[in-house]
Order: sequence, then structure tokens, then C-alpha cells
Amino acid sequence: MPEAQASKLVRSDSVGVDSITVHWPDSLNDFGRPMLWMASWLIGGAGEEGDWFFSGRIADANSGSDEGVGPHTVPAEATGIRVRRWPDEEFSPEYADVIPLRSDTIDIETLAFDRRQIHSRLRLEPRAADESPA
Amino acid sequence: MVATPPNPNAWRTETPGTIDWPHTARAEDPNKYFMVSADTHAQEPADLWATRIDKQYRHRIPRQEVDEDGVKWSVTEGHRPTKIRDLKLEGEDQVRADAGFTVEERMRHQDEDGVDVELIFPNKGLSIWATPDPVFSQAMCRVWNDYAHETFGSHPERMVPVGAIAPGDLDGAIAEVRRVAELGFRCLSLPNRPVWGPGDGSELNYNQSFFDPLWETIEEVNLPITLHISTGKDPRGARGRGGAVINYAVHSLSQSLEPVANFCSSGVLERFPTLRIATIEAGIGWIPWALTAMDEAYHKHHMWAFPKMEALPSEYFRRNFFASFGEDPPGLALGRQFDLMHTFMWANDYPHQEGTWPHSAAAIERTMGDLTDEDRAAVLGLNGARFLGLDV
Repeated sequence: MPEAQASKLVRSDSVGVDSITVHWPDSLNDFGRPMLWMASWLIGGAGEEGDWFFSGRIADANSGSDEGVGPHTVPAEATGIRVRRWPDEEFSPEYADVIPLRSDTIDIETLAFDRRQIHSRLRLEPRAADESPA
Repeated sequence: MVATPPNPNAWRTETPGTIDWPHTARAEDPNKYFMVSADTHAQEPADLWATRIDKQYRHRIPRQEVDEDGVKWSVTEGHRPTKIRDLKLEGEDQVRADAGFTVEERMRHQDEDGVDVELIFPNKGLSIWATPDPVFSQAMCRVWNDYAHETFGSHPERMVPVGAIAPGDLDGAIAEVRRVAELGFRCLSLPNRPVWGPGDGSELNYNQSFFDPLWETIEEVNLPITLHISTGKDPRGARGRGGAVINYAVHSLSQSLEPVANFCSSGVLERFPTLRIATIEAGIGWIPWALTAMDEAYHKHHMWAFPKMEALPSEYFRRNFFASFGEDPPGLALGRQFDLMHTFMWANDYPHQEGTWPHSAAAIERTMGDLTDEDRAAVLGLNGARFLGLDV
């Protein structure tokens, strides 16, 4: 995983792993600039979120000055993490959830941002999917 | 068939010139009008709300979802899900999309466009009212207000960001009005409907005395109110063929008539006579008709029209309301006839595609040639200054 960024996450009994290393890819957004990423803790059973522990572009994280670089204590109530990314820099980010945290290493490049998520909020009217968007 | 020309933006630079104009809108003209753009938009960081919202709401802010077929949708609480389209902009359209991400660039662009002062609205953040939960909306408003204060607050001579308020959360709204007033904000922005939704008569609206404590507070802090298009209900009411035109004309622009009628016909402006309110980006050509229609209803439906007011609805509009526009020849043509020139405020809508930047002078020359110099000065800047309480 060249050029990857690693964030060490410290053990949380509720998650069941000793620590988590997050490998951040150095992806580019739709405009050829470093991708904007964000990671937060998932808590509860309906996709609710707690605090976030990293937000920035990977170039920022590689500088070593961002708080996302250091070890983080996993909140006791954490059930997983939510990773957001903004390829188009608009309001609505793409996201992928990691539930539960089974491994001590998370490779962001392997997350399925292009699939329906467990806590999806998409509720389509029956005919909406067949029509051209306005 | 109306074909798309090779350069679809070429028309933006067409101008008949400024023969006999004592002043112009040209940035380089030493006799340039004082110009206030009464509608511009910030370029907020994409992760602004995700990082700053109270964490209890973070999972509810807009995001993309993917369905079982791999199709991507934008999901916002108050909007019908919208398919994500791979839209590639080119040329000047891309320049507009990329503009305004720093304060320094904004000021340079507005200098080049002749703008002396800009009234700044959210851009991504126009969705902060797009939820039927006004407390959640207020939380999103606070995020914008903090950001706007931090970003634009150090340039009060050039930049007037709006303080966003979610009125359906009445106590929270009053507290936020007081907070932004103390921060130094000089203008407020409320949605076209106080609580997001289609409106069926059972919901709160601005005609109800429920909001009197809010108007009392706003009169006390003496801040003008703006009502921007595409707030209050889903502006994507149509889908499929013609959707872009239908949604813009019907579900976005024409929303503004509802708050105008609510304020002007309900006695609110009789009880709170110093409120200053402006429709934003809805244009002005519809206003002569709307005032005529409201007065007609007040007269012809006198048996049903209540409360009985000291003045006609149109008179409250002329006294308390302003309206922003970009290019609206019908409105300008009727402005004198209907005694409305003192209410019209020009805007370049920077950096939106609907706006006139970076060719505002040409747009003004195309549309304001029949106005007097005095009227041009009023609509280009002096009315905006009066609305915002600027010293000119």
C-alpha cells in the first residue's frame, strides 16, 4: 500500500480488537486534487454517530501534523466506523460503514463505497427508479 | 428546435452599450455606480457540516446512497432522492463552478464585476432548511453562522453574510437571532416556509401569531430578513421531461409568493411595521401581478378577508419589502408604473450559473437601458444599502 496513511486506533472492549490501523489511500477527487476524507465512530444500532476522529486530505494527514495520525481511543460505545469521502466536493459525500470492527487493520481502499450500506436512508418511491432525473 | 450554440455563453457578453449614461456598471469607470449584489453565494468546505454539526445529528445530514443496482442517489431529509448525474462542465461554466473558494478570490472577482458590497448566502448550505425537523435545521443553521462569521466577518466593508435562522424552532430561532446579532451579523435569512414541507394548511406559516415573539426580537435587533428561493419545500417537484425548466420556474422561483402573501395579508406588518424583508433570486416581473392579485382578493373577497387592515396588501409590500433580481426586463419595465423601483435590488448571484458574473456590466446594459440614471443607481446599489442599513 504505497503512499498510504496509517492511523492507530487503541483497543476498545466493546469493539473487540486491541487496536486498529487505518490505511488511507492517496486518492484524487474529480478535480485531480487530493480526496477529502472523514472518519467517525458509529454508535447505537441505527447508524447514529459519535465523535469523528479524522477529517482532511491525505496530503494533510501525511504531514504528520493532523490529529488523525496519532493513536485514538475507541469509545466504549463504538460499534464501527463510518468513512466519508467527497469526490465531487459537494454537500453529499459517499460513505462506507465498517460494522463491526473485526480486524485490527482497515484498508480504506477495500471498502465498498459503491454498494448499499446497512444503514442506508434511501427510500425510493416505486416509480422513481424508472424515470429520468429532473 | 433551439440548438445549443458552439459557445453557449457568448450571449452573456452582448451589450448595446451605454450611450448617454452618466454612470455605468463598468469596474474601470471612475463614475461607476455604487453596486450592492443582493445575492451571492459562499463556497463552503464540503465537510463543513459533517465536522461541525452536533454529533447527535451527523448521521442525518445529506449523503449519497447507493441502491441495489449500483445507482447513486443524493439523500436529504426534505428532498425526494435525486439521482447523481455525471455532469461535466466546460469553459466558463466550469470557471463559475470553481470560483469563490477563498475570500481573496471573491473580492478580486467582485472588484472585476463592479460589485462594492455583496450579501452572501449559503451555497451547499441552502439545504440547511431541507428537513421537517426545525430543531435539526437550527443546528445546521448554527454551523453556517459560525463558518460565515469566521470567514467573512473580517471584511464588513465588502461582505455581508446572512445569519441563517430556522423559525419553526421558535425558542431556538429567537436565541439564534440574538446570537448572530451579537456576533455582528447585519442580515438574517429565513426559509420561504417556516417548517419544511409541501404545505397543506395544517402547518405553521408566517401569517400566524405564533411567530410574533420572533418578529418582536427581529425588530429589536433591527436586522433585515431575506427569503431565498428553493427554501421551504422541495424545489424538485417535477421529474422527467421538462423537469429542469418546470422545477426552476414553478417549484423554485414561484415559492416566494407564499411568504409575501403571508406577511402582507395577515396583519404581521401592521403589528411589526419596521420589519424589512426581501425575496431573494425570485426575480421581480411577478411582483406587479402578485400585488394586484392580493389587493383584488382583499376587495372582492371582503366577506372572507380577515383581518381588516389599515392598508392594502400591496401597500405593505411597498413599505416593508424588497426583491432581488438578476436579469428581469419585465419587472424593470413595470417598476415605475407600479411604484416599485424603490424595492428592487440587483444581484449578480456570484458564482452561480444563473447569475451574471463575470459579465454583469453587459447584462445591466442589456436590461437597464430604458431606466433613468436615478433608477439605475437605486436598483444597482442604493436600495440594497437601504435594506442592509449601510452608510453610503
